[in-house]
Amino acid sequence: MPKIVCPVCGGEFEVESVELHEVLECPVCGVELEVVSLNPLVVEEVPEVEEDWGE
Amino acid sequence: MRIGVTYTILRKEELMIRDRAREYGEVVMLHEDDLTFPKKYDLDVAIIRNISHYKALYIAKLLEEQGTPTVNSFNLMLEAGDKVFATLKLAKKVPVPRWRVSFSEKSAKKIPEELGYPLVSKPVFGSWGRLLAKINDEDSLENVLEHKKWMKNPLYNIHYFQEFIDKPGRDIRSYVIGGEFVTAIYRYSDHWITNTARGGRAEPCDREDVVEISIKAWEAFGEGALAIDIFEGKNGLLVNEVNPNMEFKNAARVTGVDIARKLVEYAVEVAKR
Repeated sequence: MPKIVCPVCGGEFEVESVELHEVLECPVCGVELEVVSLNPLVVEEVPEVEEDWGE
Repeated sequence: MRIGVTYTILRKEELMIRDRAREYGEVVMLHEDDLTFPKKYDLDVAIIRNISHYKALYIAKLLEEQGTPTVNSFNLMLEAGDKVFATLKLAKKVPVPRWRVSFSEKSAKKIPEELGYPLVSKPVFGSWGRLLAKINDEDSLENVLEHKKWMKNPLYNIHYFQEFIDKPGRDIRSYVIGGEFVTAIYRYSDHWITNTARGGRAEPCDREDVVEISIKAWEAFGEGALAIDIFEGKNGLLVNEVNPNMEFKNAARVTGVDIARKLVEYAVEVAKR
């Protein structure tokens, strides 16, 4: 299972499978992370700079 | 049928939409990295899910110009995605909070004479409750106007104000797709901003008057898939705003309603027209 290190809190967690651009929630700090590369597996914090439509 | 989904990131909503769309045909996922125009994309319909309102708007226009219908359409996103344009449409059909718009600091400072305090200042675009300001007095109004003056985006200097509605610790978010009421939730929060994106708690809302006002609000635009924000005012329900690029994972979770399926079914219907 791929292992992810949260770039925000440094927490480590495993995921079953991921897709490019998928959004994951860090189980340690709760921040949303986007998968920006699959090989190597790279995640970044989801940008909050765009004018979004929310709930 | 080829169903396109344009997107920025794969939130739960996009994953649900993709899964449902696969039951109706071939799904073509189009990330922003994959899109360039002018180019002919072989699609029967495109569901627009880009996070940026302006990217969504332009992508819809470019796809429509090459003959692909989009959900939502360029026109709907333009009209529903701007708080001033949307208010103009809504006010013809449903009760809305009293509002004013002005284009200079000087004219903005006169608005409390008409609306009184507290006021809510809102940017004309955007959501998640960002850049909303509750203005309780003249000092706060001056502060907000001063801050807006130095923001780079000229749209921040279109000053849109609403009367502050003292809500009972919650508001209502409903969903209407293709004229059909889909579901509604209460969004509870101790804060005056109730977006679930800001930590508001969601619970199902099952009320006939909500169904009624939601459908009327949708009729103000007459097409597409809209999320509708409703306040419970002292004299009845008021439509606060509408949202043409909806998030719905919390509403789907607490109501059990398959909102993604409704959206895809509507897109399929649009493709067949």
